[in-house]
Amino acid sequence: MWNGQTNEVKWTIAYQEGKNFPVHYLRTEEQFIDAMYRYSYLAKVDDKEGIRHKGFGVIKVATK
Amino acid sequence: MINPKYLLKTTTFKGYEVNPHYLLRKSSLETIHTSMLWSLKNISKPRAMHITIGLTDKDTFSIEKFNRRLKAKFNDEGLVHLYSFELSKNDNHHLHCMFIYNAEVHRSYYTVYKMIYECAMLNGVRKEVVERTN
Repeated sequence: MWNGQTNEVKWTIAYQEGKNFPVHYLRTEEQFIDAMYRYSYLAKVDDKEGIRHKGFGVIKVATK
Repeated sequence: MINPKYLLKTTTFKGYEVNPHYLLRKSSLETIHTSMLWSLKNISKPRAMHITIGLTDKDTFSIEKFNRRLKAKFNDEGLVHLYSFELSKNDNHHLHCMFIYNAEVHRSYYTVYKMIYECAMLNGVRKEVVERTN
């Protein structure tokens, strides 16, 4: 507490701003190519041990 | 160390330029590529967003619970959640997430961010207390 106010809790969930825009459409070939480049980062292997903890995965839910 | 045969040795994958600054696993790139293609066929208006989540402990955070919450929250709208755990150089764990959501349902990316944020409030997510100075 400080002057009657509680301290602020800041959760470390952040969204990564792109160079010019925060989200990426995938509709055109150009957009798809750009997204492939940006999201290829998620295929990164950890430098330290060459493995990822708990790994890498995906879930998919189609529009109904 | 990972067997080098599993790593990409060029700066392109299937003709697409990829991030040249890191060692990339080929099977993960394949998953990213096929998931993006899948979203084009199965989500009416796909849009992608990158979010990172700071973790206190890799074993405390439940990715299964996070995914269950996401499925319930986004229901039948269409969603891809592609995730990758990372141990960064300063020993902080992060979860990198690629979300592909349906922009036909959500025009505001901030709305989507808030929905994901609510799902991610789980044990093991790092929080920092910012002390007020006045």
